[in-house]
Amino acid sequence: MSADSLVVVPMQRRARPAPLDRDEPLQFAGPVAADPVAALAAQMREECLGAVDVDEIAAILEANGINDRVASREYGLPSVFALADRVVASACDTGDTGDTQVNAPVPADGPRVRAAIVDTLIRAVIYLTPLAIGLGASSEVDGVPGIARTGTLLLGWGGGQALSYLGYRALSERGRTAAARLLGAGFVALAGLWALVLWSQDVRAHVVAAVQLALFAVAAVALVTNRERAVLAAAAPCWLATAGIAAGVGDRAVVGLLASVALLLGVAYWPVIRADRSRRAPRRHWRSWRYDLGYAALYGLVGTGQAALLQTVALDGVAPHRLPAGAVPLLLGVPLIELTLVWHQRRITASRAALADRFAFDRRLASISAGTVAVLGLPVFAGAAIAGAVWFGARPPGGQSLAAAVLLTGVYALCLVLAAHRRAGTAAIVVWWPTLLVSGVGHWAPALVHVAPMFTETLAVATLLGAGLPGLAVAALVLRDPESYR
Amino acid sequence: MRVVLVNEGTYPYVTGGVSTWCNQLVRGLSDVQWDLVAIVGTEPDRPVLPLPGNVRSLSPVPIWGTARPAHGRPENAAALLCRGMLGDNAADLVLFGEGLRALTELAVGRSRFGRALGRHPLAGATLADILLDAWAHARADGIRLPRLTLRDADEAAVLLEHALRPLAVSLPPDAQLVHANANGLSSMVALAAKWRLGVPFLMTEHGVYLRERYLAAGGQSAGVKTALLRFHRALARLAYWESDLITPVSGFNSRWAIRHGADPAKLAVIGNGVDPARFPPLPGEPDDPVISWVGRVDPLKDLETLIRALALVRQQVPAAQLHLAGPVPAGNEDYAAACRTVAAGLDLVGAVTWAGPCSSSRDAFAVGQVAALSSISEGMPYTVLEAMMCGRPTVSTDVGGVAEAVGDAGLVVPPRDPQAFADACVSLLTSAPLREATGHSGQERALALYTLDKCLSAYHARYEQLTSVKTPLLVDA
Repeated sequence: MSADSLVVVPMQRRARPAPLDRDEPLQFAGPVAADPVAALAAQMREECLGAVDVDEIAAILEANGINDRVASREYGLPSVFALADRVVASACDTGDTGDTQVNAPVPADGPRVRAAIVDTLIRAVIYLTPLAIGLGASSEVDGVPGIARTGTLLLGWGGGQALSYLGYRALSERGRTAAARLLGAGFVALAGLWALVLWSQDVRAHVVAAVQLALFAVAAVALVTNRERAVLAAAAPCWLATAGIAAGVGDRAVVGLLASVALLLGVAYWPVIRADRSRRAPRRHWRSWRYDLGYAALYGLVGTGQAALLQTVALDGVAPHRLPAGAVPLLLGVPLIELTLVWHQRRITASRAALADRFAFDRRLASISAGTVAVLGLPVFAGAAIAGAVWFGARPPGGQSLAAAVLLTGVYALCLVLAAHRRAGTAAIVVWWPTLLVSGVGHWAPALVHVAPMFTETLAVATLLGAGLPGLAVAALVLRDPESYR
Repeated sequence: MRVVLVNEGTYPYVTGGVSTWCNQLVRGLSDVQWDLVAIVGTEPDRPVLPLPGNVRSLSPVPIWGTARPAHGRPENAAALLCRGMLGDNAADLVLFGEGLRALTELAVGRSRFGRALGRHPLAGATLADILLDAWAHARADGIRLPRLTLRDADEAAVLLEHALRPLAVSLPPDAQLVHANANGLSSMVALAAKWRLGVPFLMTEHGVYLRERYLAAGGQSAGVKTALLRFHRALARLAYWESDLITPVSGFNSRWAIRHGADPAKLAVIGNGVDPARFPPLPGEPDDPVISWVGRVDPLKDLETLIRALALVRQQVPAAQLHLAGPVPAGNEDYAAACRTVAAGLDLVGAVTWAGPCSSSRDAFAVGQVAALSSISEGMPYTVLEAMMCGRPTVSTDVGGVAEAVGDAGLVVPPRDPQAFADACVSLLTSAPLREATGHSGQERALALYTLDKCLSAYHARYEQLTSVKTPLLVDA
């Protein structure tokens, strides 16, 4: 009868108790020609070389039926502890003693680079699916009230971020089914509340809002439950239908899109939700939820800010039937930035697995971070260069819009870094202040926009630069901070 | 009398084993007012065992819940703790104790409304760096330690930080005694209460907590494994040293306690007890040669050996069958599946019955002619005592206090030895007179030594002895 310890992480809590990886039990098996202790030591050499101390060997001996009586009768030693002592000494006489542990090669992180790249790109495509469908089907949302379009974008993006945070918490505590149920319930609640807000709008507005929320719900559950591949495969009909809408196929494509979104929703949620039919509801004390809800709200604020920034810089004023210039750098840049951050994280992980000296790690961290910051700085400096060229009279394709879009990609990348390194508050500031400034000026000083049509774009570029440059400095500090990787 | 009973991973959230013992103790000592502290993994669901009226409170302590960082700076205390746990001698243990005491003080906290709300003393601390520094110093001092990479340090720091969270438990100020139901984390709660409130501390060991930590280690890297085992060794030694009384359930367990510093004068073996009214002799035996087993399906029960033994038994007793009664706890599904695979591989699918949970082990023993226990680690298992009380002959493995419990009133064989287990089963299954004689002697032994009344009386007497001590136990920090 023994109590189960909870010291180890939950997944390992019921680890099998150190079985000896052999068919024969460890016990005295009759007369041995030479020293029986030496024979036992030879049999246990591997365990002895990996043992923390003699007591570990004593525990293994006892678990294999060698107790004090057997130690005395068969090995001539007064106790199992004395026997363990002799066994360890004998094994280490012939072995490499503790140096086996000391010089044990660090397991390599493994090549698996191709798999990592594919996984990263799949995740990026999952992120971008709602945006891409929204842009591709923009002709169908023309005329839909702003609250159903922009409002749902803000709600879905922010709500998705917040619920994803809670989903990851549920995943770590209760598993995938609980996480999927939490996400599903959260999005259903959001949809219900939003339906009330849109109560006075027409059916089309409700449908547009529902499709947007469904796509965010799909992205959230796919990422949290790690089912990106299956969900991405199921998203293919949505992309096809969207392409059909963009190509002008008409109502059939719209119906196809609606049906394929419903199918996608089912594929994303149903297999996970039904995996555990116990339907046991997670029960947690309200006080512990308080912390999680606070963090979830912060991540929600970041998500809403990202959506608002996208709307302000890239989508406002978009004409139907054309892809806005702002979307192109975003669609290309987000996967590349994701790849860079994955590369950074893998290098860091490999270094922490290999190094035992934290000062050496600091040096390694400095060089890795310098490379990552250089990549993060590319869109910021490229955007600045394009804006500067326009300022000095050059006419690059896209002009200030392109500069703003490139800078937007850079700001998103910085936001991603900050949020991933537990600086969600800073990330929220980085995305929200350009949004508030640009939309505030547009709202409170419309005359400026009217007198100088390029003013809004110029202001967007200036504020994005104002957010990007300090954001880059903060990100550099965060990436360079060893505490960020714990 | 007001007693705090501290458990880890058992009562009242799971059934069987230690939970059975706790349930008997809490219900049996009805004049004791109990405050239960249950160290659990995450926020638990409601208790699976109903609590009697003499339970004043139940405080679950999730060590994997949300962190509540302490208000002070724990770095110095953490450095003492880490440095102390890595060493081998008494001076190192003193350092460890000083560090743990300082963390205990940091863990005291209050909510905004003035209610006691403990803090997690190392949450948010840079424990990995502290551990790395202590590690480097210890190696420089000649202590043999494996390499600890930064990743190892991160992992070990997370596990240590969570392991120390039970220090945040706030016990009722009027508690007269803390009864830790194991060494390790349960005893850490008792240590904290002793240091803060001067409450005496009784430790019961059913298995040997430290030995089970050694056996459970293995999946981690050498550095993480060493860090955790050093921590548990130091904690176990400190708890053995500081406890006012240690009551292992068998003399077998007390060897580990003495080896790690327990004063033999503080040791009193109190065996488990079974209620004879609940386990009266079974009136007869079934016609079929069935071996019955009762317990939770768990790797520590080594069901593979039992299944392999059945295959060997059937070579001589072709009709032999195995009746397995007990739940598969959450997390052990893979192990249960592996056991079924072993049975299928030996063509025993029809010969092994997976009966699932049973309301009374007596019902399960009634199905078989022989009761079996094939564990690789035990304290003093109830199933053996209950089978003896019912008059069923037993075949058990020689682990923990099993040989002490069974004496010469049952067959005891080495663990992980299917052939020896099978030989013992065959000898009983093929001889009705031997079964009858063994069952009868087992029942007599159980009635003489292992009744519930004897067990409860022994604990009651110890409680009175400890709570009547006039000398204040509060020790200056």
